[in-house]
Amino acid sequence: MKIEGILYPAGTSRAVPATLEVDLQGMATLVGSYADITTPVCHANELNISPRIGNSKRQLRFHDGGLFETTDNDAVDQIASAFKTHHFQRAIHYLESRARNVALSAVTVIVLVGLFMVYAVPMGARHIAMSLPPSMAVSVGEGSLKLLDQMVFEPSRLSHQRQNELRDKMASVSANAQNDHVFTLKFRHSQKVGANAFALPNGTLIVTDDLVELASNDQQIMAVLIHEMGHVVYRHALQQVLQNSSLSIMLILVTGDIISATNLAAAIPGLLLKTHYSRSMETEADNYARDYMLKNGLAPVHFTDIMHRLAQSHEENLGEDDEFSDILSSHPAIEDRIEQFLKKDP
Amino acid sequence: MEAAKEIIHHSPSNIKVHHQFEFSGRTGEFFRIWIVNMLLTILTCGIYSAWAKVRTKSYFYSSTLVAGSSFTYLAKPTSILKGRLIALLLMVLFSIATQFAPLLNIALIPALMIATPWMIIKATIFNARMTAWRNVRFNFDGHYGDALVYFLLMPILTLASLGLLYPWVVKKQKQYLVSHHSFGDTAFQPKFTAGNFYEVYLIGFGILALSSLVIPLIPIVGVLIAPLGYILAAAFIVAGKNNFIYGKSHLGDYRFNSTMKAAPLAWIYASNMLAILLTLGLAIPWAMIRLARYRASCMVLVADNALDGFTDKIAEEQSALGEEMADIFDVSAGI
Repeated sequence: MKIEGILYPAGTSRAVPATLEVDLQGMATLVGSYADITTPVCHANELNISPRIGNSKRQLRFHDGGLFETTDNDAVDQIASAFKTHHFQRAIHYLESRARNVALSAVTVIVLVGLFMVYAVPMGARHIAMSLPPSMAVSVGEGSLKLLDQMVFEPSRLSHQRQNELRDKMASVSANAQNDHVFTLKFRHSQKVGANAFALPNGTLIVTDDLVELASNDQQIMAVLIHEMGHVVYRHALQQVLQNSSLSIMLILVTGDIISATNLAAAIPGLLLKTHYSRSMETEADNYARDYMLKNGLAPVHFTDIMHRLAQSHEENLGEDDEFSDILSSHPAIEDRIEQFLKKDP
Repeated sequence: MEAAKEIIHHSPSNIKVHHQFEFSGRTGEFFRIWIVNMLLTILTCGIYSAWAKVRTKSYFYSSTLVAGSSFTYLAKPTSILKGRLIALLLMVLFSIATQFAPLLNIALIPALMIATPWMIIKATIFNARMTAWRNVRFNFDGHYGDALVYFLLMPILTLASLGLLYPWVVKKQKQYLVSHHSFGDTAFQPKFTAGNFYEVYLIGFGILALSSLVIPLIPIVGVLIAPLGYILAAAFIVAGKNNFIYGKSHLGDYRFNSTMKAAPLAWIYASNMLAILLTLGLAIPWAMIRLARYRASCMVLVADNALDGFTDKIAEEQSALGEEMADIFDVSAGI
């Protein structure tokens, strides 16, 4: 078999057009007259043949250091398969060269990456969030409150007397909650947010004036607060931030450019505000609230009542601004949530 | 293979042939290589990444041609894997150590500062020696002491000067890197000046400042235009630096022409980024190929016709230890 190519003798940048001939026994010789070049005759299995990568140039190295370069990939493949044992590299080229294999590879990669993002990342985020020291949660909480105050909140218009009344009730609720979190209750006014409640990772619970006015009794407010405590106990906010940032980090790793990375850093405070809890997180907090209420003799109907009222009030204001919904994050599913809440009632 | 386009100029010396760099890689072909690399890397929990790296680099090197000959990437996957494993081991050991002695964290910053010049040197040596053209290797002969001055002390000086010395420092660093590179036993000679770099950075920052001005001047639309300006500024700096570093460096009697332009480069950057985001990463092979193609199309080697005067001198000097250390570095840069 004859292969046309270029010979680069060892030690210089000389390029000599050359023909490599390999006979049936595998003896490789350069045919033609190449004057001063003394590349030895050798058996094909002594040649160091570079693996095939697409149709890029192929290189065959002689043991004296001389290099033969060719574009005739198929001929080199024939020699390699007859006299060399490169099973590994050939298997890879087999994967790369068949359209069906490539399509299968692409589908497998997409499915594996998808599974990783849907299952592994939330699980990892949960694990990390639960194992972080409490001091970490506190510092995250302080930053968020400042940010929220700048962006959406105004000071509360409720009287100090009313605020203290609710604080006292919250204190006795959290005393019964049997966990080592310290909860503080803060009141804020915001037209934009409407009737709503938030929980920060450090145990700060924020209730809007509208929610206090919307509730027909204080037990309803307490029910909402217990739900929010559930988010704190399970560190849902932290999980959410970790999930989002790990997805962003993966995106940066995949896309590998700095410009989108800087855009991302700017987007993180926004994510903190706008991200909704996942359905499973809401269910977890709902269950936490129900368990507490049943244990401490607070009728679950207070929770479902306030949920109905919240749903109604947000429907009336729909279209105005619904991006800050926390307790109502899975808005269309609110009836489901109430139903589920009542299902396990004794 | 297409023969290099050679334009003969009528000048008295025999160095008159313009050898245009060419990139022959194709998107469809590289996509196959890339997706199989991804698959095997995932299935082997990252072990295959060493092979993936070599296959990717080999493809790009051997698809880059000048004067009819391609470049060769010589690194072996097993040595890259070994380096990666050693670096990983160091990281794990260090994180375990800090669990027991938190004070080690404070020692980390000076340790990294001292190790960085070493890593830069080892990386540059490794990359140079693993690159060959026409069976002749590139080489880099820098030392730790020099790197300490250029990559640790000078950046500190930049901070002290509030950034005013930055273009000068970049020039000194590039000058050092270029002048210690050689092809075979022929050294590269940098001919660029600090003025070249001040020019590039001043105009680059000018574009940056102007695009930021757009935001308050044109409401809403300004916010959309400004990032394009930032990309243009980045492309201007990359292209300008590239043109001076390659276009004003000599290799023996030979020289290079580099004619990279900011606008096409910015277009490639912006459209690559958009395509990669819209396809969730599947457009990466396409993006890499078109950038490589554009880069090659901007480079010309001005030399004689035969280009046979270079001799390889490194073949005898290769020591296993140096290669191992270079490999370890390779990992640290990767992580």
